[in-house]
Amino acid sequence: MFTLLEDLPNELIIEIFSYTQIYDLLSGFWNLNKRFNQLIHSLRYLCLVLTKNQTYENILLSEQITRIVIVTLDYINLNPFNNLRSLILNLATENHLKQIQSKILPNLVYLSLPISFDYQSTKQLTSEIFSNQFKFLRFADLGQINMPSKLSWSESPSLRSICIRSPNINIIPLILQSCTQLTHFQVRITDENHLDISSLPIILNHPLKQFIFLQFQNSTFVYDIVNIIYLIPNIKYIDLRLCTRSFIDLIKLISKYLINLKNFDCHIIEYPNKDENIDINILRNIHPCYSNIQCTLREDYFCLYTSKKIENKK
Amino acid sequence: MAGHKIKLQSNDGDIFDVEVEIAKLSITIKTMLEDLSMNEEEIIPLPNINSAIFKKVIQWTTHHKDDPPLPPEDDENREKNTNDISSWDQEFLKVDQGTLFELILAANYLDIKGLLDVTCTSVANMIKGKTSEEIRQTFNIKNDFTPQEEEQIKKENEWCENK
Repeated sequence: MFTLLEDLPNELIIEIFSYTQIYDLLSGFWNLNKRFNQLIHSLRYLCLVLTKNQTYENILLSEQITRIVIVTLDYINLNPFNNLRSLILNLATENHLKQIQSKILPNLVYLSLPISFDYQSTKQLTSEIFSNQFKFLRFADLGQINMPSKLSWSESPSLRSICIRSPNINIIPLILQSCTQLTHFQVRITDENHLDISSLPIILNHPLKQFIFLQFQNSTFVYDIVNIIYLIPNIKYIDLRLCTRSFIDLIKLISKYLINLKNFDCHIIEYPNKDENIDINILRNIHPCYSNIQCTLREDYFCLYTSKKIENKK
Repeated sequence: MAGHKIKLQSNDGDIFDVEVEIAKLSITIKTMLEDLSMNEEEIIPLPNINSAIFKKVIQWTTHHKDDPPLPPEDDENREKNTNDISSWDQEFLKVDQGTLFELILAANYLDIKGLLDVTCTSVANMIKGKTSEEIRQTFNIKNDFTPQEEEQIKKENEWCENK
């Protein structure tokens, strides 16, 4: 007897559907017969990828779609997708950004918009994110954001992971203050400015576990990273790409204050180069995490220290 | 233990000697051997699989015995790869539809994730870009709507197209 697609149990047809794009599913199987209609209606956790010139307005199942990836600058109406949990915009326009509101997408858990084209809309969105309007948002890659006008945000305890770029280093303590349960924080500072120590918030025992700090390329500005480290005593992994006056002083301080440190990565330029003749083994012996530190480049005025990644080989 | 074999019996009575390590790519068989303490001398019956399909399953598992395990997936992140089928698997899956669906049933029963993955991907590739009428013809799907329901569907389609 010849086995047909319709002979498969529902669970296996649903399994096959999970390998199928929504467009193919709807154009191919919708209204073929009652069983397929019921199966399509039973699907959950659907993903929609919107590319240029793709029609989606009449899409059925909008409430069953939990993940959307937008890879077009075209106008997209997000209103029908009120169960959306994950939204990824490769290029965020004003139109896209204005629709990312908690009243339109109340269930958002993951938001990624690494490149946005509208400063004002990003500011509005940032304000909503850091005032706990998205109650379920846990992961946010927000691209370029700036300091809030009032120089503070309210508490946003749902956020666990944040990735941003900002012209102002003072945004770091503000985010730590707002996101009291944050465990992963990546920040790239794109301008040269000093940390305002007089207005640092009081943050006690922040739970942050991973911190990645990136300084923009070709800058030799020395940020006050030490006073940031004091705010995050529970760090297990730190990756610093910056300039410092004394590499050895910085790593000594890290080993002293970050008592839970398990991994240390760096691309640190010591400028001007003070520790000209320092033995690399002295640096490596300060903390077990420093065993991969190497002096990659030494010139008259600066020295570059990096951590050599060890690949896991089977 | 490489080379050590067990006996597996298809539902039409054929008995297959299969290396334990290959048989254990099936989580169902692995569980029988480990959790249910089945004696390796015993013949293990596979009542849901005929010998022709089981030969194909053994062919696939033998070829893929050294593959790394597939990563686990969660319900909310079920994006599947719908394009990449290795050339060996493409050749292996040059079979009629009936055999392909039997392989899906066997992969599901034996709990062989890699085989289920590649067979479902193959069906998904057959679905890609087809209209409902082409799908109906390709998979011989019967229409069970009443004439009244057909009329309603037609109206809905017109409404959607004009929206």
